[in-house]
Amino acid sequence: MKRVYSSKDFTKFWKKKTEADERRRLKDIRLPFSRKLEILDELMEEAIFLSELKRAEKSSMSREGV
Amino acid sequence: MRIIKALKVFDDLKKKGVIRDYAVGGAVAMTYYVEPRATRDVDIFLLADYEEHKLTWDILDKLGYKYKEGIVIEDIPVDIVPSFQHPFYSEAIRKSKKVRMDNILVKIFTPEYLIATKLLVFRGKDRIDIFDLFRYVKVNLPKLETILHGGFKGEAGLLLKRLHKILEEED
Repeated sequence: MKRVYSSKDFTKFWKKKTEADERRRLKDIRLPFSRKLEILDELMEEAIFLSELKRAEKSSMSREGV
Repeated sequence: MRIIKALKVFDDLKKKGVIRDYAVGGAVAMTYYVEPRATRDVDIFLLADYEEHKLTWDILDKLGYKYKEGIVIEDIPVDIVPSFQHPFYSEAIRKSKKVRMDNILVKIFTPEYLIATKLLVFRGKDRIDIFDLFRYVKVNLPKLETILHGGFKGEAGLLLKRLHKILEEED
């Protein structure tokens, strides 16, 4: 039989998730600055790549007259 | 690491006397205080008048760094904000905190000055950053209010209103 979840279950799940997210976040905040900069470097590479991809898509769309 | 390589370029220019001083704001400063967050550029606040700013650009150009959504230094777009754009920036650069990155000492905006720059721009992500700084970092609120009163004159009222709105949301 399929279990029916109550709003109490949802509240419990959400509280657990929020607490886990917060613990993960605090762990990231407490990382050494040098490690945080390495992560930032990777995030930047992704962001720059995505932005260039978007620009390339836009220019190809305008070339095609879309 | 590319971010450090880019900052080393500015460190060298400062050591050679080309630039008087600079400090880092934006995502790099946020990363120091909280966790890393996605960004497309590094924000450098340069202590410079119009001529000094122009000279810095000329020198960077001669060094082979070209403009493309900010000047690209060591593969990273850098947004150079000269202090002549706003009187508040000179004070923010002077009062920045010195932080060691690899083998260089870099000045980073203090949380109060970082919040002030974010109150000025106030996009969605700036609001989140301000909220996080209050949540995870010791922010000196009276000092921040003094900065806003002293450095922004006509804009102070609006910035204080924005600040208090965020503080209310935080409660």
